[in-house]
Parts: sequence; structure tokens; C-alpha cells
Amino acid sequence: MKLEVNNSKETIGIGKSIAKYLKPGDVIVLDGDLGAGKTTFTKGIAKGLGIKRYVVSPTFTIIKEYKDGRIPLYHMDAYRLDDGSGADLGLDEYFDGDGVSVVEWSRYVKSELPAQHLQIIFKRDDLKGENYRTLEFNPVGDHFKKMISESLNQK
Amino acid sequence: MKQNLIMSFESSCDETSVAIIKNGNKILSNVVATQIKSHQRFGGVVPEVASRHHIEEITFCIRDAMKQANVTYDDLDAVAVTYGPGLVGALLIGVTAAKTVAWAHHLPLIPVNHLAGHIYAARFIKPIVFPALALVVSGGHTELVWMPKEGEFKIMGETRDDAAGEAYDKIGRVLGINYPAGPDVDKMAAKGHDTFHFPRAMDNDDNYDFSFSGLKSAFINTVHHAHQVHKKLNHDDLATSFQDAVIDVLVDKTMRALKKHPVKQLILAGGVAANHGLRSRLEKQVDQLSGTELIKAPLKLCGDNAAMIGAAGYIFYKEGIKADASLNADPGLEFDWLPNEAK
Amino acid sequence: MKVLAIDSSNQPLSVALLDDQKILFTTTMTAHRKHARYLLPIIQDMFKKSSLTPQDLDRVVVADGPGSFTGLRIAVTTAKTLAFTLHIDLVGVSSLLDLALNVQNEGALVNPIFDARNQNLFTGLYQIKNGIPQSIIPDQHVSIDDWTEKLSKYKNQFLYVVGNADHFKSNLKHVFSDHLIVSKGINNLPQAANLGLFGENKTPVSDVNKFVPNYLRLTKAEFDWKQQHPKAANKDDQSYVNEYTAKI
Repeated sequence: MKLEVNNSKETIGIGKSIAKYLKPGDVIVLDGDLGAGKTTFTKGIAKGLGIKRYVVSPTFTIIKEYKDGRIPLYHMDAYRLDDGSGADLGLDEYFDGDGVSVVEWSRYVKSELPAQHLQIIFKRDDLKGENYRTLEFNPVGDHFKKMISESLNQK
Repeated sequence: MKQNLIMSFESSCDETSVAIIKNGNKILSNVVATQIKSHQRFGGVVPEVASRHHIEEITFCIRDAMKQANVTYDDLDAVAVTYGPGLVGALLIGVTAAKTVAWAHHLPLIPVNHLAGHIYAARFIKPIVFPALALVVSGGHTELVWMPKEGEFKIMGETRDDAAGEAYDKIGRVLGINYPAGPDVDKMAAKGHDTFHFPRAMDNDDNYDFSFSGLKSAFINTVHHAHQVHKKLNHDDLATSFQDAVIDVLVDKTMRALKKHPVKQLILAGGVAANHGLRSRLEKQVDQLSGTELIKAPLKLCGDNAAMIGAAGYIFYKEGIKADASLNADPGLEFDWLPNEAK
Repeated sequence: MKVLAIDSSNQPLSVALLDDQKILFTTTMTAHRKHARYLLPIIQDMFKKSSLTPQDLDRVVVADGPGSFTGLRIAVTTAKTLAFTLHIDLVGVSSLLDLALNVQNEGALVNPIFDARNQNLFTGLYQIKNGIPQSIIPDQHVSIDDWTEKLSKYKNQFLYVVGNADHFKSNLKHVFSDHLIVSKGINNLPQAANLGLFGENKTPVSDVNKFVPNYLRLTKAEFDWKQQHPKAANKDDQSYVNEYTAKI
């Protein structure tokens, strides 16, 4: 399933509507280039979870934790993580844990990802405008398939 | 006579450092093993590579710091260490080594927040007078910190997306400048003009927060478009336009904070505090405010180093703040918000 | 000789304190992976209960790899800093050999295994001679298929497998059938007491400062970089680090 957005507000809106369906242990992986909207989408999820703190770039410390919402949000930037070092960081404990994990640049921690997850691919198309993006949703597993059809089809 | 000698450790990112500090304000030694050349191979810090270098360097740094300071373990009064924020694997080397030295020689262990360290680098210039305000700008942080008294830190404002130094590195990549891009962009900016007028995000908002993500996108889009129509842009002008936008936002917000919460001293600290454009602009602006003095962290102590951790550690040492052998790295460590500014 | 032995190469954390051949204190736990938090408190407690101080220590023995990168660094940083700061001996022992010490049958072929993810293993082959494991095939990072192939020439002998071998058992069973002996329970956990006893007779490292873990695997970033820069590939790691003194 693919959605088109024309500005960051719409991206945040999609994140917000998905957030309602999220439960502890859910893992969402975001793929796309620098500036494609991955962190913006995460801000939407945070809003939807009722998190008041700012969602800031996790690049510097790799994992940022936000615990003031309905359930905790763990925002991770796996860029530059070495294969296998995800285990050292205790990624599986986050993935099995009490909150939602959102992982940017997930290909660097592929072996640690749970089988069931939601992948979203962000693409820009400069011919259609600076802020135009497509979001491609690839849910793996029933829980995520249901989440996508329910949360996005109402729109 | 007691000298209050502290051995301090810092390893939160890509510098391994050990220092010996006397009375919290005199550097007897400050050995820094920097890995920049290593990570330049990859265009940025690779966490696992950083951790591997830290363990290679750690005892060399202790050895050389003690040799240069001409001290023995019997002379030491305490051990201080950065335990966050930073890269967890990198922090762990300093924390583990510091704990081990403290235990082996029956010395108290003092946990230090890395950002408190950056701020206390100012202590090597002169004593801090409270209340004070600090602008901390680095690769991982952009924060305005309110300090009501010695050893107390409250956030008044912070970045809502990227840190200022992170924005420098990201636009540096677009211009083909290797990490860390700050120093080169600073040099180019001195030669160019602000011709692109990039947005000053949130500059007029009624808060003390920063945002650099929009600036980064505007910059990338500008370069991208020019590339598509085969137009060559003047890199010096790009650098100036970017840097002016960063400095405008940093300085405007800081001045607004100073007006609402007047202080005797404004402290400029962190890696980006070495930026010449930022130093001179802030100097000019603070000059116009009577009653506030600007203390810039010494250029050589803007980057990560253990001396600053020793300076902050001394304050906590005097207050009796100690950690035990179970001290762990806390990569997400942060100060509390100032209550009225909390969101 | 008072000896401290540490192994935190993987999930188990094992620590022991010895006085010559006497084991004063030993502990192994798998309840946490928070080695950074628990290692020093355990050491502290051992010394206290044994009425010893750090200054009584003569030697540190550490399992120096392969294993989890962070786990290795916690044990090795603790061991190397202790040896450096107390001016005592430091001995590094293969983490795989430490596990092989759990098998004591003379002549036995022992295959210690750590899961290295993505169908890979950290492993080596040992044979017990005069009560201690001798390396037959060196420790390495290897795919399950390649390792099965390497072991196949020993298929007529008994093979003792120790460690994290569950996902690999069926491959081995296929080759060794009834000759496969898979360790159970405590024999799959490293025992620092064995490590300490073994390390008492080993030659200490000549330069403690240069002691680092045997990761047996380059970081992915370095691997890729070395492929692209074959000429610079053999440069010493430390040549990328500059030490300077920062004063005002």
C-alpha cells in the first residue's frame, strides 16, 4: 500500500493515526534517504501516543527513550551500527519490551529484527515538489496488516 | 596541605582522555587520544570502531596523564568519570576503567554528566558566579542551561530536532567536506556572503528552543536544485548563508533568555563553541548588555576532554556526590527542565 | 599467588578468586546481561569476604575473546586497568578455550561454540592432552556450513560440544550421529575458576597497555574500507589515533 503526502503535516498525521493501534513489543522500521521524513513520521507516532517531549534526532546516542505517553516509544538510528552490535545494545530487549520501537536505517540491524514488523519506505520525488513524499507500507504479520488497513483506510 | 587532586576520565564519543586536575581549576595534565583520523575513513563516527580505539588507548592515557602531572596514586583524592550522555559502548570503557582505578586505590568515584563537564570548562578561565546561563553547542547537543547555583543544571531550551553540530556535519557531507565539518565551514563562512537567506527556524517563537532540521533541508534542496540545472553555486556563500542562519538562531534565543533571566555570566561551551563566527557574534551582542559577562570555554577545551570532567567532578566531590562500583553508562542522561519552561 | 579470573564474553558472567590451587570464591550468573553494572560489585564482594584487598592481588586472568564485543571489552578493560594500575601480571586466555576447560576426559575432542548470528559461529577445535585443551583448529569466525565441513574429517571420533550449540546441533548430528556428545547445564557455562587455574601457569602479556580483545572479526565499516583501500589495509589500528595534551 502506498500513500502520497505533500507536506510534513500529512506525514505527522499518518503517524498519529497508526499510533492508536500500536501495542507493546511492536516494531516499525523506517527506510529512506536523509531528509525523507523518517523522523517527522516518528514525531507523529509520538504525538499519537500522547508523548509531550520533543522527538529529536537519535543519531548521536543511537537510542532515545520517551516514556511520558500511553506506552513508551524507543526511537533508534541504526546507521553505522555494526552487524551484531545491536545485540550488545540490547536491541532484542527493546523489541520484546514494554513499548514501541521505531528503527531508522534498519538494514544495519536486520538480524535482530523480529519476524513480524511494519516496514515503511519513504521516497522523495523532486519533480513533484520539495515536500512531496511517497510512503510505502509493507506490514509483515496479521497484526500489522490489520493495523494498516484499519488505520489508513478510514482516511 | 591538601591539593584536592582528581583523576578524571572521558570517553563518551571519539576521544579517550584522562586528566589530573588540582582544586578543580588547575590542569596538571590533560591527555587526549583523538580518533578523528580513523572515523574520517567512514565519513563519521562508527560506534564499534570508537569502542575498539578506546580500549586500545585507555591505559596509555592514564600512564601519560600521571607522568605529565608527576603524581602517584597516593597523591590522588578522587576519580571522576563521564557516565553519559554519549555512545554506550564508548562510555563503558571510561566508566569501567575509572571504577577499577577507584576500587584498586580506595578512592571515591564521582559520576559526571558530560554536558556539566563542557560547562565547567569555563572554570579554567575564572570562577563561575551564580545564577549563570550556559549555551552548550556540540555535535550531539544544543541546549540553554540555567544554573541557579554550583552544580545545579536546568534546561531552559533545547533543539527540537538536530543538534547544531550535527547540522554542520550533514550539510558538510553535501559540500564534500569530511566530518567534523564545523571547522572547515567556519573558515569558508569567513570568506563568503549570506546570499541564500536560509530560514531562521523558530527565531520568533516565544520559547528558548532551537530547530536546525528545516535549515538543513533548505540547504540540501538548494544544492540539489542547482545540481539538477547544472548551476554552480559558490561554496563560501553557501557556508556563510548556513552559518549565519545557525548563529542568528543561537544568539537570538540566548539573548532572549538573558533578558528574561538576567545573569552575571553567560558561558559558551561545547565543540561548536570553538566556532569563530559564533564566538565573535555572541561577544558583540553580550557587550551591549550591561551586567552580563561572556565566558567562552578555552578554545583547546571546547572539544571533548577529561580536564573539564575533572573541573565539574571537583564540584560534585565537594558536595559529597559519589557513585559505587555498580555505576553504569547512561547514554540518554539529561538534565531536568526548568519547571516554568517544561513542556 | 592470588589470582582474579574474569569471563564476560557472552551472556554468562563468571568471576573467581584463587590462592594458588585453592579456589577461594567463584560465581557464574546468566540472569542479566548487565556485566558493566555487576562485574565490579562481585569482585568487591569476593575480596571483602576473603579478607583481601586489591593490593594482595598478583595476577589477573581474563577471557579475551571471541564473544560479544561489548562483553569482552568490559572484562578486558577491567583486567587490563587492574593489571596496569596495580603493576601485576595479566594473562589473556581464549574465551573458547575457557569453555573447553569444562571437558576433562583425556584425549577428548572438544568443540566450544558461540552463536555469531546470521548462520555464523565463533568456534575452534580442541583436544584434551595432559588435562588441558590444545588447539587443533584455531578459533575463528566461520559459517555453520564451512565449520561442519571442517569437522567432517573427525567424524569417526567422539566430539564433545560445549556452549551455545542448539541451532547447530542438527548439522553436527548429521555428521557425527552417535559420536556426538552435547554438554548440558553447568558444563555449557564458562567457569572462571577453571580459567584462573589454567592462567596461573601461563606467560603474562609483555605490554599490558597494548592488550585488547581478540574480536576475530573486523567491524563491517573497516572490512568494507579495507576492501576499497588494499594498500592501507595493513596499517596498525593505532596509527589512526593521535595523542596530544590539551592545556590552556
